[in-house]
Amino acid sequence: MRRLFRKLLCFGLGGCLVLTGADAAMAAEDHAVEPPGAQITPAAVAEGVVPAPVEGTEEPDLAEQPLSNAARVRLDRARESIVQIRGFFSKAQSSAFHGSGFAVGDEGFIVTNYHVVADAVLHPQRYRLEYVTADDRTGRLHVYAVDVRNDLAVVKAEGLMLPPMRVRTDIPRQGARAYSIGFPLNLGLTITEGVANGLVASGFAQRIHYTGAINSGMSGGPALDAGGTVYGINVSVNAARQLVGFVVPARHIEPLLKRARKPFDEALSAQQVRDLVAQQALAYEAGIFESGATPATQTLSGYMLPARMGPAFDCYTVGSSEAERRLQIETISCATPAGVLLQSDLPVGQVQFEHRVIRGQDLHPLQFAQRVNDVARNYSRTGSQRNVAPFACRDALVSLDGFDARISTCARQYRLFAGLYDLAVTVTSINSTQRAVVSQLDLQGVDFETGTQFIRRYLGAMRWIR
Amino acid sequence: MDPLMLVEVLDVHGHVQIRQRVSGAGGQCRIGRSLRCDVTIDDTFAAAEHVQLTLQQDGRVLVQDLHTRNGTRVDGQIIDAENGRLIVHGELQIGRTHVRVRTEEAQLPPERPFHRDVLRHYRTLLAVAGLLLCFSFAAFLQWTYGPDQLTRRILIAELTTAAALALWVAAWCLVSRLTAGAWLVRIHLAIAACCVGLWTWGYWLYGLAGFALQWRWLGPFAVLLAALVALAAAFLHLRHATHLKRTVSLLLAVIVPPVLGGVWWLTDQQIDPRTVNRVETGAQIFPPSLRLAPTMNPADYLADIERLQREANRNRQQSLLQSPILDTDE
Repeated sequence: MRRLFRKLLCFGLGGCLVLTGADAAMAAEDHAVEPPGAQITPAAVAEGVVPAPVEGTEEPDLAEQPLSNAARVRLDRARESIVQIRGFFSKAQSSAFHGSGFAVGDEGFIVTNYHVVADAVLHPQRYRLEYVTADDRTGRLHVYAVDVRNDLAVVKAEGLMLPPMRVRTDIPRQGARAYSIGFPLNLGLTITEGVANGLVASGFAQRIHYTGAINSGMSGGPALDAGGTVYGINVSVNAARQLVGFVVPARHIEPLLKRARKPFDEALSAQQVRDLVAQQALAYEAGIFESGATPATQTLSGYMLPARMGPAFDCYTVGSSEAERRLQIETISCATPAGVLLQSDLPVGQVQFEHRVIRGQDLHPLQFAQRVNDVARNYSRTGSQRNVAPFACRDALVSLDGFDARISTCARQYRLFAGLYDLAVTVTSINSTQRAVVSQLDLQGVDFETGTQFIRRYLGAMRWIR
Repeated sequence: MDPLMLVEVLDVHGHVQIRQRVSGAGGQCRIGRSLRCDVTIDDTFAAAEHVQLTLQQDGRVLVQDLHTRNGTRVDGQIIDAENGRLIVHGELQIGRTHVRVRTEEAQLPPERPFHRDVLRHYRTLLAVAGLLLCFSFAAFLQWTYGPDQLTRRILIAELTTAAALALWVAAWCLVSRLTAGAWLVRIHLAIAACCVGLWTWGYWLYGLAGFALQWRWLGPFAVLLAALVALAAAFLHLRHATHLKRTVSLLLAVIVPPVLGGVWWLTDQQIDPRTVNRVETGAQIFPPSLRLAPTMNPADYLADIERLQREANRNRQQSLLQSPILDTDE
């Protein structure tokens, strides 16, 4: 159930397979929001890709348009501006990871996703970045600025000046045709066609929902509207669903370009870069924690429990009874959208909790206690030994509002980021012989002080009312 | 009085196989493979007529090797074939065979104080009691998991318990039979069943005490208790199954369980490594009425949590020492 819930909440990056996003914009419909420089070229019209607008006539049925030609024209126009970004381990000749990027502005900057270059940003002596252009030119890339919250990075190669792509900062209308370009699975430059579906309403970070094919390696590639203008950057896809992709709005490119002054490897030490990344992650989380001063609660079987601890939280309630019918478990699951990626396998900034309210029927108190222990034990955390240190734990019997509970709190620190912690709390009530609540809270990659304040609010919102 | 000599041929376990009594000065006893010897031994490393024992007037025994290839040893030392050796008592080695020679001149050690072996005396009672403890715990544990399919689950648990005990007891009985010549089924069953029964119930009660009293030091205590039970079981099995001396048995009992425990721990580490994802949920819960210790104030608990930060930082430092981040320039 928890796994399913995580998948359902997998809107931004983290739990979703962060691969690429794509956008497409419907040609005719999108003209209304198209900036002046983003009109369809005469060449495209001449080829019959897009019918020339005729005054006083209705828009043609798009289903009759030859879509493959439309995609080809947009790909040809963008080809010169797009590079494949490859990361190499040490002096290896074959790449360890790869993504896509595209040129913006007149200073030779290339925009890509932060998660594409994260390993090279955090371990500059272990990885090197290179680009490959459409005409097979290659060279070293240097990172100039990162935006962890929006999963963006600005990179540059000395002496490489690609024709910049046009960028629009507004969001395409829902249902607008869109395209996504990148290097999926290292198969060469590829374009996919789909539909932009507007901003994701429940996401904490801004993402545009794109319905279209997206694959690994397209991350950082441009998402184009029907006019071939960049409206976003491919970022992620929900691998468990069909054609559910996400795009970072292009409006976040400009502020990042302003911050791009010097390459990281000249201006900052590796530790300073890591501190910068951690600060950006904490700034992202501040938005989650500062909101929701009075947590909303939900009452189940006499337990009043914290539910929406802030506007970023989504909650689900599921009831289930075990096959044996003597134990009924109702589950309230709440979580913020998946947080941000610090590196390819290190998502942070997500808060999730789950209350399992257990009711026994005709069970001896010892039998009921045993079942509650089983429920409390059946819970696992994820984390790689590479990224996090072991947990340190404290447990005690504590008097909460109207009931006593065993509370176990564990904390672990991130190996690379000294200011980030994972906090895990398990609350098991012991006030009744036939009712109990097992509540588990997970804070991922948070500041310790912020985390303990959240735990204080969380425990303070629990109450036994009958 | 005529002097006396007792010749005893021992088997590999030290038990007397053949006993020959010789009396009167000049009395002789010849030992070898030949049927004409006074004591015939079945040892291919012994000569047909290997050694001759002659009782002297003063009560001592003259041991003479009969010019054999392998010679004769008395108390570990080879004797001169020409002169022989005079002994009051001693252990002869003829080929692979050990022969004990005693005379009246040898001083007998004082009688040992008699202690009734409780385990041997009450072996049936203890075996039954131990089995009751084991089977009752197996049934109780299944009962705590709920009433559904209880009979079936109890039956499976009891059969599993019986099979495990049977294997363990059979192994020790085999050792007994090979070394002491007797199976000693009830004794080994009593040892195994009592130790397992006491441990399982003890462990459950330990969990209950951990909940009721909230004793934080119960963890190491449980390990100590397990070590003591294992030590007691190993010592008692060894004492009854072998002829090892008390000190040797005790030494083995002290050494073997920790070694086996270490092997088990290492195996367990391989199967279920203590990863960074391991979260301790604390002592298991029991019904509220069994709780004796007072609860903590939430404010005190939260203050305690804040101290976790130092511990987490320490864990990080240790983790970085054990496996450093290679390209760091910290």
